[in-house]
Amino acid sequence: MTGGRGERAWWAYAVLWAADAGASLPRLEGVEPKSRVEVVREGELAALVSQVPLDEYGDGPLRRRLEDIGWLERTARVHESVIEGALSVASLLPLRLCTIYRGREALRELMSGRREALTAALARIDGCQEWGVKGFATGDGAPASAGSDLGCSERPGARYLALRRREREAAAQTRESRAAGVREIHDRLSALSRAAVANPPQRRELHGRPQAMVLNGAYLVPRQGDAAFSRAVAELAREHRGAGIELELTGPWPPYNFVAVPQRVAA
Amino acid sequence: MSGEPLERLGEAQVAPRGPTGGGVAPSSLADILERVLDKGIVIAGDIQINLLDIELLTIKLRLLVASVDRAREMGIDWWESDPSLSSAAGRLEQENRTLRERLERLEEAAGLPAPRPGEESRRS
Repeated sequence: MTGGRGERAWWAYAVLWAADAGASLPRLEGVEPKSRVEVVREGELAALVSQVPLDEYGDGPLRRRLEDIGWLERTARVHESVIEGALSVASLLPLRLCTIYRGREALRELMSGRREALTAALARIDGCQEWGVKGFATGDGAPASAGSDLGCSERPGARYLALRRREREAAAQTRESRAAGVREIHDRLSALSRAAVANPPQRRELHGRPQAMVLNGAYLVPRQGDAAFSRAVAELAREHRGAGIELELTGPWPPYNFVAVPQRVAA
Repeated sequence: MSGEPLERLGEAQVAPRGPTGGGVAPSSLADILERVLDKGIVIAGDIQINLLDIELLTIKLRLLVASVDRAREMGIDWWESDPSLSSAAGRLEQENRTLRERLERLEEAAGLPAPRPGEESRRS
């Protein structure tokens, strides 16, 4: 759509304190093969960017590439790995995929225009990382206990109904205790976090496990609290296994879930 | 920071699936996409892609990641052309298989009824 041959644009990854964007930043490769991740500074803020060709990353071409699932996966992984690479030395605000500027100047203007919101967001996540805790329902479909004590072998219909009722009751009980367990897990982990959010569970097709997801929590944890947090997850996993909940810890992540800044509509 | 070893916790699957560097399994695609497409700070760029459009894409993706086996049957094998992706796919596949086997053992042990349609295990 836009951009003649050879024109460049800048793919942005994250915003961080300029003071953190020094020599300690690891050398990182950008979404375009062989492109170097560079720093754009504006006052006390800085952004991590890398060059992309505009004829491939303009509105039209980019939309088409986003329809290519292979491209999306590669790009998402690189975007994430760049941010993760910088996470080792800095607190940062991860940007959503496909935040692209025609020039470094446009990005500098944006950083100075949104300075207050960006510095406030950085202050909120300062010294923290995000951990993900997912819960999966195990032991669904309540075991059909032998049913020998149901008697009435000469009335198979009644026996069947009694068996089904018992199954339903047991399943309802499992659901209830599991729901209570999930709430308790989320509450206890939230208490160890600076901020916490329970996201909608991922669909089975997406997470790829046979069990249903019952918790999809994200927790903003100060770095010095990491060990205590993962210990708590381990404890909770043990405590709630009996209630049919299996826990999975992921991270540390850049604080994707905790960087919302008020949107401002572009003029 | 990352790479800090996480204990293996009894039966609980507490696996460092996130972006932990160095020798650890890569993060699951689902977790990455959920974050980079749906979370993260939104600031106005010069190129305006409405990420709501990507809803279409994530639906496609859900279908794709549903089953490596089925996708391969359908001739969708994009990950196999890229070693870094195929290792991830292979790991997922292995994990799926292990989970399926575990589930079957559990069902058998518990005397559970046969899987409902759409829940059958996919034996390769």
